Amino acid sequence: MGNNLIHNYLNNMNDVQSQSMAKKNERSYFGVPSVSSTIESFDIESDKLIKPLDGKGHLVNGDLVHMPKEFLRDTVYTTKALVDGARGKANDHQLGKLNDLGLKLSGVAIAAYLMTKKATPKTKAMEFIGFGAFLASMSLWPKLALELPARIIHGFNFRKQYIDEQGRKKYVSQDPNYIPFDLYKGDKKSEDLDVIGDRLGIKRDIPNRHEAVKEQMRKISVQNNTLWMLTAGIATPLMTALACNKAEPYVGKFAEKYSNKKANAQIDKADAYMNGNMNVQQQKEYESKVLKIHSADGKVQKTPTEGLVSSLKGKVIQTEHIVKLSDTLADGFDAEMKDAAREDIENLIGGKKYIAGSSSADKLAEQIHSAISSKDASIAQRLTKEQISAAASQGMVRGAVRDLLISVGADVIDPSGTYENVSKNFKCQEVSELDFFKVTEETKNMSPADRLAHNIKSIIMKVNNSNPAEDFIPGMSSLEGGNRELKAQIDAKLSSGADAIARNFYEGGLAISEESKRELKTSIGAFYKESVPASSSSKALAKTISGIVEADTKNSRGYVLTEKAADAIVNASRQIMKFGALDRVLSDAAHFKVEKAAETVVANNWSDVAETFIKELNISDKELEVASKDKAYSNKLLAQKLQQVCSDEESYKTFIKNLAEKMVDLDEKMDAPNSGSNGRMMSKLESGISKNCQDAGNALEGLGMTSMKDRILSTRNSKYGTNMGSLMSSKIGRLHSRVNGVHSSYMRLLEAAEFFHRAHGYESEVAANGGNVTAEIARKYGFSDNAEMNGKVISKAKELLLDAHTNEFYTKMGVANPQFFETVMWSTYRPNEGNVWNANWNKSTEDTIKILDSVKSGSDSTLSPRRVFEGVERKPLGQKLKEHMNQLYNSLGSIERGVLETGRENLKVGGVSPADARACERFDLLGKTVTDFFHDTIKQKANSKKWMKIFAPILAATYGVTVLAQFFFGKKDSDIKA
Amino acid sequence: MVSSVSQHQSMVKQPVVNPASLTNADMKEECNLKPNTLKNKLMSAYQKTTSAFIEYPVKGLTGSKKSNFYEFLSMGIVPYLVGSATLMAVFNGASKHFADNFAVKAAKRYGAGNKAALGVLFWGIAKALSKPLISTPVKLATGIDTEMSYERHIYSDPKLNLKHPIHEYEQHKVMESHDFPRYDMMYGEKLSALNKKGEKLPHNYLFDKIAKKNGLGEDLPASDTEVKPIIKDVISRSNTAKSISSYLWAAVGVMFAVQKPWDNFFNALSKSSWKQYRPAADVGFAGKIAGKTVNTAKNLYRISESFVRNFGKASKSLYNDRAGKVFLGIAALSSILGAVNTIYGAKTAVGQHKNVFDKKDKITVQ
Repeated sequence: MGNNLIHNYLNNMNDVQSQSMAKKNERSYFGVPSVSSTIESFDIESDKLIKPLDGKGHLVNGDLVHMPKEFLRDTVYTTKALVDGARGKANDHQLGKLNDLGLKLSGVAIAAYLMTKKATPKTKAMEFIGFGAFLASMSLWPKLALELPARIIHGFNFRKQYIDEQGRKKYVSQDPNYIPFDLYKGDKKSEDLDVIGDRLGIKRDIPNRHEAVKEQMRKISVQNNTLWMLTAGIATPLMTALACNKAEPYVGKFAEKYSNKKANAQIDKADAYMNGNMNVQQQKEYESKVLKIHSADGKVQKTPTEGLVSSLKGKVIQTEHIVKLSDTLADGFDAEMKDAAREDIENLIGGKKYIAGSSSADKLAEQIHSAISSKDASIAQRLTKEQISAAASQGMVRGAVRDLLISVGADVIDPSGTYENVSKNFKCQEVSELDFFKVTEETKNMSPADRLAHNIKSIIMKVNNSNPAEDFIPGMSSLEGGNRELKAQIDAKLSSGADAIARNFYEGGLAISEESKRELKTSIGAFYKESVPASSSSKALAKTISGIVEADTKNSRGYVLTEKAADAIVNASRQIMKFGALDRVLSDAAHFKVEKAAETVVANNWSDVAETFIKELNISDKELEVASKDKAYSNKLLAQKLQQVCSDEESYKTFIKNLAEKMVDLDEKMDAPNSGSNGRMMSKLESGISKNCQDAGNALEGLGMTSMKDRILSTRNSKYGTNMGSLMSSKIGRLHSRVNGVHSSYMRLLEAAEFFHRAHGYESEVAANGGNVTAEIARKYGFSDNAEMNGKVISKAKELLLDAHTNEFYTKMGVANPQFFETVMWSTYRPNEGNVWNANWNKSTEDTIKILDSVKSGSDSTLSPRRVFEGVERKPLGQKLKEHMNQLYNSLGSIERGVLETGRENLKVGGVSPADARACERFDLLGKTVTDFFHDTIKQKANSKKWMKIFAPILAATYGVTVLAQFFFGKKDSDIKA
Repeated sequence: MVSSVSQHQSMVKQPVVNPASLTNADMKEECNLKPNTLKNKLMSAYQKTTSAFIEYPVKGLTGSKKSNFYEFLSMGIVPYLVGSATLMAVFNGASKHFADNFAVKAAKRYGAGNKAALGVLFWGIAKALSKPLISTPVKLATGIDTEMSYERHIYSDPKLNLKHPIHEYEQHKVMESHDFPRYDMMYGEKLSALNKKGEKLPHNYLFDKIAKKNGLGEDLPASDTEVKPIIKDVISRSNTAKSISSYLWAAVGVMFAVQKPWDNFFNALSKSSWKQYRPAADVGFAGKIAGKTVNTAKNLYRISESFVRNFGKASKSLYNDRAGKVFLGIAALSSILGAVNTIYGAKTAVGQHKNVFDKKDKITVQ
């Protein structure tokens, strides 16, 4: 083995030194730095050894203060990694970071995509929150379940990060074969192997203590990292789900506010548009952007009907075309609307017509001729097929010309009856003798169609100014002198009509009305009479021929979509498009405000009230669990808890006040306008719906679409209301029914509480009085002075308040004694003296009313709560309770009892007329039973609790096992452990 | 060294073997290239996954000195699969308990767990299938196969004298590291093992091919030295492209899984859709067995038919959806740009990495 490099170096040391000294002088001339300084300092004898510089690698301070800085550094690093990667210069660490970036990008992409699939802003937001929670859980779990316990148990942070020479940030323990222990320089306690050794419990007096410490750290790190991988899969999704579960209500509140503002703006804009409170620019924008009935450049959007109409216009169509047309016109509406559309279109087009033409004339002639031949050959010789066909053709064209004259008279000249005489002249023109097929010198070179058109025009448009008697239609020549414009219109119509007749005749699509088709029979009949001498057999044959013609006119029939009808249908389709567009905007808003669906104002408020109700009743977890599965137990539990909470003055007061505060929120959210706007949103919505229906209905009527108008806006009134059964009334009815139903359900909760409270007060005072009812006690609590009766009334009334549906009122709860039922009604719903509904109420109820009256609007503590659909803008809640009780008393207490006639007060509030309340209004007035309300809420609550109960313990157990396992980590040998 | 390995090797096959009887042919190389066949890929994935669930956790939890970074990374499949299962459980747990909230909500939630399962499946498939979108064009254009893979075989310590020594395997890609690509696996000696005809390939066989393809010329004295910088460039660019595009495709996979038509498939998959077999009264035991088998086959055919049909429908539905189209476009674009950028890098790297010396001249550094 020869000398190695070091030997070489040391041996040559002197040479190098002398050489470089020699070169020094030359080189310094160029100012190049010499190596002499290094060499001079290299002195083995002294302590001036060449030492490597300190490394740049260091441990990262992971505390909160340094987090923003580290975050920024990481972001810059990843960005640079992306650039380097794309330029082919990224190292492995950078490529690893790009993998993380890809993962995040993909998460954002998925969340963004799923967002587009979600209907409500809340669910949209939850997609991103879900992804964020997932990322957070991924990084939180190792921190909380591994890093933190490990620091406490073992005394060091195995997830410490370091930045190496090349600026790459890594976990110290990620590669157990390469843990940078050299960076533990002892600057801090957490970076001092001696301190860590002490914390790990490594004996102080063992040889190579640092090595033992390092090995212990390595081992624990590997164990913890493995544990992390094993537990993350269970913990991360659970943490995410639980976090989302907790976040949902908060997101819901924000989302509801956002959607409510949007709905209010929709209502405001639709209102402004329909009432003409927009300038032209705004209107155009609204039509193109929101309604989408105009394109951005102001062109009217083509409706599907329009395309269909233009393909059918002027053609013979059959019933299926009409059905298709009406289905397209009323697309998106119910079957009744489609039927109405069909009715209207049929009316516009008129009945079916006889469809004729030159080829059908030939066919008819052949039939007639063969019929004659089979009966009487001698007669058959007298006439040819061609002659019969010519006669038939004359008849067909005459009929069509007659129709043309009538329609020009009625539609062009005299739509409003101004030129009555002129139009009459058109209608009276006789066409039976006219020859429309003659060939003259002038016309012999024309095509048959052109000749026919020319002939028709030359006959029916004939005007002689010098001799008006020669006018084909009397009065036309004088019109030329008088009203040129009208004359021009008539001429245009006649001319185009003549062209159309000629064209349709040769194309086989000539439509002739029921009335005018007799011209055909007349023409053929006249020709037959002329050609065949009268005899008994010829007479019989004439009948046969007449039958054949009759059959032909019956068999080949169809509709013709005239230009006028086509225009009307197209216009109607535009009206309906606009109506539908506005209706969608308003229905969206209505849906968000009142519908029974996820995330609507009503649904959210309902769950708020339900939540408060359950909370105030103090239901234990155990009770919740059992009650959710057993309705009978749930009913019992409700009665018992309600009794409990209403027996104590303070708890009763808190109970109804807290409930009331949630309840009034509903009307506030439904009715309050956006800032900068005004009015009551629900009333605006209602009038918007009604205005849209009215506008559309009237426009359709103007176009002759009366059935559709009736469907949208029936004028049928009954004693129960106006426009019964129309789209408008069902839309508005739904709105009212939803609001009334929820209002009543809320009121019923208060009524039940009020009665439980009142009954308890009564019972305790009677008990204190030795079981005797004094007149004073009776008056104070709204009961009679019969103690025994009152006992029965109270138990029946409680049952009724908690559990009765309308049918219980119809059957009077099976109570045989009408007097008793009336007493129950009175004690429950109108506990006052005298017959005036709003005076002299008992003190207990009045107290409750006062408490409720003190509840103010959520947005302004000086104002009473808002009240939707009740005439006035605001109304104290106590007042409302009183009214509602009275309404119940009147309309439910009086069912088929004729009590109204006995002089009970009849109260009319908020569109519900108790006197003639129909079944559905009675239903809305009674609301949901308290037992159902309670049980449904309990079920919901138990379900979400159950979900939590299943998954939260799994997460907790995973956490527990993860922490516990760490106590067994590390070497336990007694030769290193103290 | 040789004897100890061969002694250990013998233990696998038979407990007692005379070490002297072992030849070189009985010894395995530590690292061996594997042909890129579907079978090999599946076998590798299977080996890696089972090890990640059984072997590595045991080693890791006991704090074995042989636990390494590869094992830690491989264990990443554990939270992916366990997490997916947990996710499905969470969704299904939720849908069961909230079913009576609102009919609409219930309908939407129904099958959320199934959809999550499908999402996980398509995430993985899309991610895996998208990689060839980069590597195939790159291989065709530059001759560099970034997916070249090898298996590392680690013998258990012979000193332990185990009766049943445990063999460990690691699945690697030759070009998985930019900093330290396994160039040694690319020389002719290693490649020859893959050659079916058993020909011995020249030392620089692959490097020559790559050099020629990328315009460095033929008959280079040291094509490996010339080509290595290009390989590094390709690794960096193609890995960047794969990282970004494969995750975008994975996201598209999830979007695909949430399409409506899959509801029909879940319906077809459901227990209630399983067509029952009702044997006639006079059918014997063997007949019943045969009937049941036929019935099961019919049902399976029905289900797979439904899968294929709804696969088509779901693709259409994703494509017809505006947002779906946008993300499909982004994913496709990322693949195209990634491949183009990689190929561009390889083709233009020639000038950049060109040696400053002309190789034909003799140069002496003084």
